[in-house]
Amino acid sequence: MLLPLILLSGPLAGYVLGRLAITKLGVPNAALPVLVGLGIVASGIQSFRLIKQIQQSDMDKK
Amino acid sequence: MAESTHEIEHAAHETHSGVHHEAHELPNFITLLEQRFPHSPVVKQLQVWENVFFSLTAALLISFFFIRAASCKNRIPEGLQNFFEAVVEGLEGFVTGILGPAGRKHVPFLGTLFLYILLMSWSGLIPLLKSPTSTWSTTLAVALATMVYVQATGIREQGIKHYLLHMAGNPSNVFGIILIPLMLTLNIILELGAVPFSLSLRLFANISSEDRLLFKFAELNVMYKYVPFFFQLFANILSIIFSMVQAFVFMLLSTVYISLVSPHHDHGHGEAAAHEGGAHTAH
Repeated sequence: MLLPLILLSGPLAGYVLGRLAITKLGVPNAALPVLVGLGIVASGIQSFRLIKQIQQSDMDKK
Repeated sequence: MAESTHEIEHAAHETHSGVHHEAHELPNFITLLEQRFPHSPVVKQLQVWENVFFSLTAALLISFFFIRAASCKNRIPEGLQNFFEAVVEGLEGFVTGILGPAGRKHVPFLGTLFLYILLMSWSGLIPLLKSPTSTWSTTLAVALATMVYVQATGIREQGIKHYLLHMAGNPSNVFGIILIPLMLTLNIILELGAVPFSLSLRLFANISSEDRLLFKFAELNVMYKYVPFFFQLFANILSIIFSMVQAFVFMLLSTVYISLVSPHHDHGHGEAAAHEGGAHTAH
């Protein structure tokens, strides 16, 4: 259940940061897709860590 | 003149009543009081605080029965003590099965969460009562309280430094450091927004749809002279089971979220991992 939320939150976080950077810091508009892409990468990394953590805790129980 | 004013008032009342009484669930005793005493300020206040009233009633009932059960200290339990000891042991076994022996301290919160949600969901099946969990405000309140507990547990068990590192995605290289703002935003959106949102919406959607189903079956019973009675009976039995499932799922996910913020063996949790390793060695 958490994995879809993590995968959705990454691009959303990238979009939110991108909009903030464009409006407040005057960053060019091209930064938005870059940040959304980085957000996808971040959510992928977080999902991988979560799966690793779950596998580790399963192995610890055994 | 007086007659036309009365007619307008009556029409306005009917219109207001018509909009207000568009029912989606079976009436409870507050709804019936409102129909009987529409101008009473006490009844109006009760109607505004309807969900809080039924939630508090569920909380008081749980408190009353558990305090009574806890006051019996027979060595060989019987009656109420026996029943509640079995319930608490079952909940403890479930929570420690996921969180380990260290999870025992979370049993009071998680067990209360399960029983509170279960009792609130089941109260809609009792005539003249209502399920507070059929409104989003109640389930959101419970989910937000759970979110606060989970984050406070994370801060307490990991320490503020490791908690912040966890929120920043445990950066271990240059790329990790570059991603800190993204990871922070992601985790804030996830843990403080998406998690309580999904917990509350799941419970609200399930319980409210059960209540609407029961209402529709009651309507059919009235329309078709109790021919669909057995369908309603079947729907009631399903509601009992699904309410239990939803309360269980809420507790299960809360337990999982606590396990995710608890110290685990990872690069970024040096102190916490060492502490846990020490605890394992001591055992």
